[in-house]
Amino acid sequence: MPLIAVRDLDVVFHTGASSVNSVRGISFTIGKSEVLALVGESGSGKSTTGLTLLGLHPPAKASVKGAIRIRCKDGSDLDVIGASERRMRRLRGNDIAMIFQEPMSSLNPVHRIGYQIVEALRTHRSMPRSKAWARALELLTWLGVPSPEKCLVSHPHQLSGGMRQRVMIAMALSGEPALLIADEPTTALDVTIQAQIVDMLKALQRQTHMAMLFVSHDLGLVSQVASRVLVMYAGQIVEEGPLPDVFVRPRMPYTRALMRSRAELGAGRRKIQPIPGNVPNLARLPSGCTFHPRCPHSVSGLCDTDPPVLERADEGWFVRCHRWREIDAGEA
Amino acid sequence: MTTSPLLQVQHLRKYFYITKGLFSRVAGQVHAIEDVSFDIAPREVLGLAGESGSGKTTIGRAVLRLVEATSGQVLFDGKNVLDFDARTLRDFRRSAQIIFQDPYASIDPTMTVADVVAEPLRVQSLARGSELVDRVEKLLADVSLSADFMRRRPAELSGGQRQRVVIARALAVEPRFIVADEPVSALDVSIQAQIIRLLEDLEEQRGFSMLFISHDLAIMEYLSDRIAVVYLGRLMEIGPSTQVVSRPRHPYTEALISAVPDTTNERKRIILKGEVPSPVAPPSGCVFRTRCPYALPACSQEVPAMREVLPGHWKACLRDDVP
Repeated sequence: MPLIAVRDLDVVFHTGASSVNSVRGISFTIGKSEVLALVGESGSGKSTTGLTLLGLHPPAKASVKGAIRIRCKDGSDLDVIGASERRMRRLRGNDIAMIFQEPMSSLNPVHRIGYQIVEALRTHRSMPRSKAWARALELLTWLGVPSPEKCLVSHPHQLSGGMRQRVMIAMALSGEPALLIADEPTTALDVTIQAQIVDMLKALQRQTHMAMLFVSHDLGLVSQVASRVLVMYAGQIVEEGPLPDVFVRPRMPYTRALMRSRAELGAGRRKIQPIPGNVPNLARLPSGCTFHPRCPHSVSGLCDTDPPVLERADEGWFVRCHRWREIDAGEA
Repeated sequence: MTTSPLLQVQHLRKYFYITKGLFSRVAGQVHAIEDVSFDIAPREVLGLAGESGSGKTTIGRAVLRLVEATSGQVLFDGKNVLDFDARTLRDFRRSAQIIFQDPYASIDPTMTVADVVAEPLRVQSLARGSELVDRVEKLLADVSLSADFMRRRPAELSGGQRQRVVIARALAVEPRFIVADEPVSALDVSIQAQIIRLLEDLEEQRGFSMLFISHDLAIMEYLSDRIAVVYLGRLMEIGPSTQVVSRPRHPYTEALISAVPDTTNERKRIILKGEVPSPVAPPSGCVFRTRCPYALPACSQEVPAMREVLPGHWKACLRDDVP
């Protein structure tokens, strides 16, 4: 049984008169100690999915349907949707923790780092302050903070972006969660610092066997971290499969187009091929397949009228496209 | 390069002063650009790579005099831009333009698209009346925006469309030189490719030179003829793009390239230790030595001079045996 099983998850945001269907019926599982990547462009619903797993949408603004079953550390089985806020508070940090793109907005600017990590530790486990301090020191040392004592007495603004992200990871680890959701954790960082953080996350994952949901727009980055990927477009999963296979031989036209639109280092001047048009407006989705207006393989009377379903293409590999067989065979 | 360069940057320096107290006592200086020299030939695209705080943006702005350099020379057609008075500077702006990173910040939200694109033509008195309208329409067509866009305001546009407007505005005066400062960093992956291809096509058709500033080495390799790598305000390496990427000669470039994630996961990774030191107190000798896996005691003694390791390929590193 997987660690977490998401079934037919649907998230609608209500904004004044209109509503936006941000996540449209997605299903997936994450196994114990598995690293799953969630990729997509802005508006694809990838961040919303991450937040929904933690029950972080205010019920007045969003309606969430479906099921998110998680196997908790205490042996119980919980559906996040419909769980009480009190129960969710126990889940957050203990079973699932999350780190975000911009650590500065997640840290309290007026408190020292030590205070904030100690607070997180003591929220999850009752322990004396001195013991929590020692544990904080241990965590930071382990996460490669060069002078952890100095870091603990610093305020967030005195730290670099890379250090702040390490502090956030330390806080996320304080409850020893079974699943870490990392939402674009290195997007705000320079590549050399990104490489440090990614290396650290990989080592961390190997040692603690913690599962990870790695949310990113960077296909190169996710291939270094994850063993399986979900590609999202306009709120749906359009392709799911093992890495690096999905990126080596993508089957869904959107994934194929994404790969061709990237400049890859060392590829010289091999022409990149942009995807025409724009990411669709979620309030006015195209009929049929949501990717059809931008798809080179689209045929009228099929792709513009019938929404395709997620079909099994191979072992653990799923594709949402009417024509994937022809495209795969090179006939389209 | 045999043709005479369009732009020559020589020993460019820019210090920002940190002041303290009531009388603004100078408490320190940020060495944003330290002795940087390079040329750009007509029709050439030079990529300027570096991490945040490397000084790459300041170099781009100092060249256009959007910030005033502390010392050095910027020769455009052989004339020193840093000596220009207000009048000659305005003439210079007819030849040199900039495209900024954030298309949400670089367009006045109250202006229509037509006004945004027409502004440089008006300021430079290059067109008026119906001719102005025609030129604006033509410019929008060049960046694949229909005439319908003329009356629209920035709020109605997507990020990619805004960046097209910014590019049309930069092209309005038919410049011979453009500084593009991270022009696609704020855009979605699928839109990035559209804008890169647009810049590529425009450069080919119009033949301007470009200083392409980016932290994305893959895009840089794609678009640039040569790549210059900066670290802590200093030039580390400069050479032909494919050569710099496939066989970097400077340890910093090697590490930078190895850190770029690729989908095939085949590249050898070098993880640099630590972070970029403070530009207020840069390390003695080679500024990269504190993070360099190959540093020798000699590296702290003197600032390594740029030397040519292959024709047209230069590096500022004492060691010949690495990387």
